[in-house]
Amino acid sequence: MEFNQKEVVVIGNGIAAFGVVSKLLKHGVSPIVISPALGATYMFSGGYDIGNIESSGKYHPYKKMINPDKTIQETVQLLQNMDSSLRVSEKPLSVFTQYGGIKKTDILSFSSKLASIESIKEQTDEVGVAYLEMFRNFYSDKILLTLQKNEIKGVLPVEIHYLKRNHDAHFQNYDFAHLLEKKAAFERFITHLQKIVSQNRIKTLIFPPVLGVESFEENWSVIKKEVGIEIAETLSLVPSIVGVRVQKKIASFYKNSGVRVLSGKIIGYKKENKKIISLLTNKTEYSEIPISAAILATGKYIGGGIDLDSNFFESVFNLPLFYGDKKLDRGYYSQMFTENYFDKQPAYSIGVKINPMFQPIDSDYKIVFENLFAAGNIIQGYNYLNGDGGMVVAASTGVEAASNILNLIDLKGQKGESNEL
Amino acid sequence: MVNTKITSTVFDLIIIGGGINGAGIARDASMRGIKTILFEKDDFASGATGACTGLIHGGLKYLETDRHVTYKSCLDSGYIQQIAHHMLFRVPFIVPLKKNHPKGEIFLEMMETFFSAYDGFQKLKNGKKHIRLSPEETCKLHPGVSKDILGAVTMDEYGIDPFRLTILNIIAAKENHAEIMNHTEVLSIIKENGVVKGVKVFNKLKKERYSIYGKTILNATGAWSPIFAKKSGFEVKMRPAKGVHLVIDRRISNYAVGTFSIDGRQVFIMPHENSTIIGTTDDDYYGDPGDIPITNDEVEYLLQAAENIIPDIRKHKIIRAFAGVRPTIFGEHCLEDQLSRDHLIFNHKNEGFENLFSLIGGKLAAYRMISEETTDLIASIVGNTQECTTHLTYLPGSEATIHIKYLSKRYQIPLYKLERLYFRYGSRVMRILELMDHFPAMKADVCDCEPVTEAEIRYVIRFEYARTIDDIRRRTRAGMGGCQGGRCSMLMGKILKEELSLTQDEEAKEIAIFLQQRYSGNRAVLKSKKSIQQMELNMANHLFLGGLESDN
Repeated sequence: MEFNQKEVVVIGNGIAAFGVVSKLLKHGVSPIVISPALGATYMFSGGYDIGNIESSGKYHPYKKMINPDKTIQETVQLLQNMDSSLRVSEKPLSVFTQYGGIKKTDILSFSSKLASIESIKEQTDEVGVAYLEMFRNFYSDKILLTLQKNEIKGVLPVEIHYLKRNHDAHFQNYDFAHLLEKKAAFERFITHLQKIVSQNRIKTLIFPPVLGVESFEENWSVIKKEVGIEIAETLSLVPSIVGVRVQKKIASFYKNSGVRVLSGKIIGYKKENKKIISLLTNKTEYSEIPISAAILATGKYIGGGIDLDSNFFESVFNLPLFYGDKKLDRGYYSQMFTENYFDKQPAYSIGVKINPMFQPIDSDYKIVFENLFAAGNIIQGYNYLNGDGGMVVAASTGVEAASNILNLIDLKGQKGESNEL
Repeated sequence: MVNTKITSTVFDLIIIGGGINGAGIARDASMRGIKTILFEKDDFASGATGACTGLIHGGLKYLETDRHVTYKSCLDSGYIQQIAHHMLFRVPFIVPLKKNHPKGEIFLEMMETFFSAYDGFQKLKNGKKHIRLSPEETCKLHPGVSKDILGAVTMDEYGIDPFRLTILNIIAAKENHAEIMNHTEVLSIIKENGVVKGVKVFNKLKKERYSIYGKTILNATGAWSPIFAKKSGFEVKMRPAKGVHLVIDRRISNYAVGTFSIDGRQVFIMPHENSTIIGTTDDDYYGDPGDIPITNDEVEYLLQAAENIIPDIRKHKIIRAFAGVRPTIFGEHCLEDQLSRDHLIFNHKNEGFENLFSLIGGKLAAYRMISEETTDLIASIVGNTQECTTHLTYLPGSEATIHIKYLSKRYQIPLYKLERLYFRYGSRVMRILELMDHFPAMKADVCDCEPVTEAEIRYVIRFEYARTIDDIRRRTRAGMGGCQGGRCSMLMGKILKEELSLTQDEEAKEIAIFLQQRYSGNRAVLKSKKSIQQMELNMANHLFLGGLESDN
């Protein structure tokens, strides 16, 4: 890996970082991605929520964007470029989760789209709900009950006894998905499904999101061709195979586009006045990266963007953190979790405060570093648990931040030229 | 299924409260043939018993003030070790002394002298005598201990799961024909001409009221005593003290370590089952014993004390804080710590309640002796002359030893799972194994943190009076591990629904109550990245994907 003197560095390797990278690539800038071992995108459920701009709060990042609709549109296109299995629906769909709950979501893979109440209602043929032997984290009963409540007829419980393994096996999402990656196991699975279909006349089977990791699309079409049924995957719990799929697609996208990915951590930085000139990593061979701009896309708690000692702090640059207008100095810690588990917890809305350029600012609205930008869940004001939108918000903030960086680099270039003249 | 129908009309003894004392007395009385009924308003061991440290220790600390308490505790601890041998675990203690202790080297000598005095009691409870450790030896045994020490002294104690100990006493009482009802609150006492006749009770789950008649009533409500007494028109004087413990998600060492808090009290960091417990505080408490707030100050107090001797204690994942209220005997002009750990039996005859007694105080390690003493008193009133045999009779599950290796092969269940099951259920594990034999799918784990199987959960619902998810948690430890119910609570709800034929709404309500209960203990310790990450995952699972909402 070689560095030039003006690198753009993206700190983080999730969906927000993807938004930044793909926008930059579109304009001919190839950044460096600093990737942690495990980010929050690995825990992804499978539903990209756009969220509602009108009803979102005052501090929602959409409110900082110049033209949010245009940015969202662009983001959705970029996401579809990366993952061809994604389908966009005009209205949010009510999709089943592995727990048998229902979640509204806008963009999802074609197989998950089939697991929405809307598309099940359209079905004229019978729909099956899988009961998987030994697979504990799939709540078929609840799905069946909800379908009955919605007066959907022609739903059959389908028992699948394919998993005759050791009975005390701890069968989780990844066990099943990795099993279906193996050819022999997958063929056995197909034979088993054929037997079931010969007994029940189903055309769609509601299934947990475990139909393979990398070969999921291939598996899906083989099942459709050979068995004649469409598998409808629900949204996923942790450990999420859907998240792994997305993360792998991002990785191969980066590989194909020649983006340099450095697995490691930023442990420090050098600055000149209010400008970061280089980042220090924990890799001995690439210990210092000279930069022209950096984007903080480290996420919140699971991603590792926010850490705690006696109070919350931003883990890379120690940027000021905010909850609404309140700067989180000592003493705010205990108010960040309310007494009721079912409340919307303030802790999940805290983050760095940004200006319309997506640069982190302090309480006096002054920019912390001139060439530092933020994207994704590290930005304050939106909580995916709250219905403020999740992955699309993260990716679109990345896109918006990237376009601001492009402006900055262009401006600097022009200025430089004019100085020389 | 457990039969909760009341079969006989006039009882000899009505026990109010299903903590360790109530359960112990129920066992003792029923073994002597005294017709007994026990009411617990929540679940067995859900109060102070469940919030204790889980040691049947002799009480080294009481050697100075209550020498007879130490003697009794040690003696009874020995008996408990015999009657419940399958669920016992040894906890060797190291008590190091920091270099910066104001009294320095001489204090270490004083400590050793003190521990030598305790050695005399050790043989009563199969404990080893103390030894003196050099700083090097201490660090070798427990590498986490600060290097900045003068030396250490050891002592030997035994631990036990307080939930299981209480449940076993309850099961034993039931097998001796006592009637047991949990989730049943005593509303009032029925009396005639100054003599108690019975109680009016309310079953919270079935929403039914009953009147139960009996010759004597024993109030063993622990920290609830003053409240219950005031409601009924008599008085119980005590000085309730709150104790807080912290839980770390794993065993950080096989040795317990003693340390001193900022105000000079002893705090212990000790392994308990798969976790480590740090405790305890001791403060006067006058609030509701059912809803004890845990403050950030208390958590910090314990962490500071622990940090004193294990400097990187904060790097561990602290998953929970739990609190209980000790029903300590009333005392004035002294600190909470100096209160007597003895027990007292009040006779309320002079207040116009003949044959009503209240039991307060006591310790887990001496519960059997306290039960014996109380039952002797009751027996003399109801005219029973049977001898007490609780120290000679095994608790359920300890009667027989089983060949684990053979059973592991026979039932095709991994040895580590079976060992854990045997440790918790003793020879009663056969019932669980038979269930697994009939339904092999029940061998699968429900909990990701500890190998709690589905069969085990169904067993405690069928045979051990578990009626809520929290009840299951107390009996099996499911939901007590690293993720604090994040992964297993939905599954437990599903099983509970099947076993008790609940509706979907009732199931969702049970899960919601359980998650709220877990959260109330997690919230006080959401002080590290790891614990907040876990909380975010749990909330995403339950609220975002599980479709659960507050029952309000």
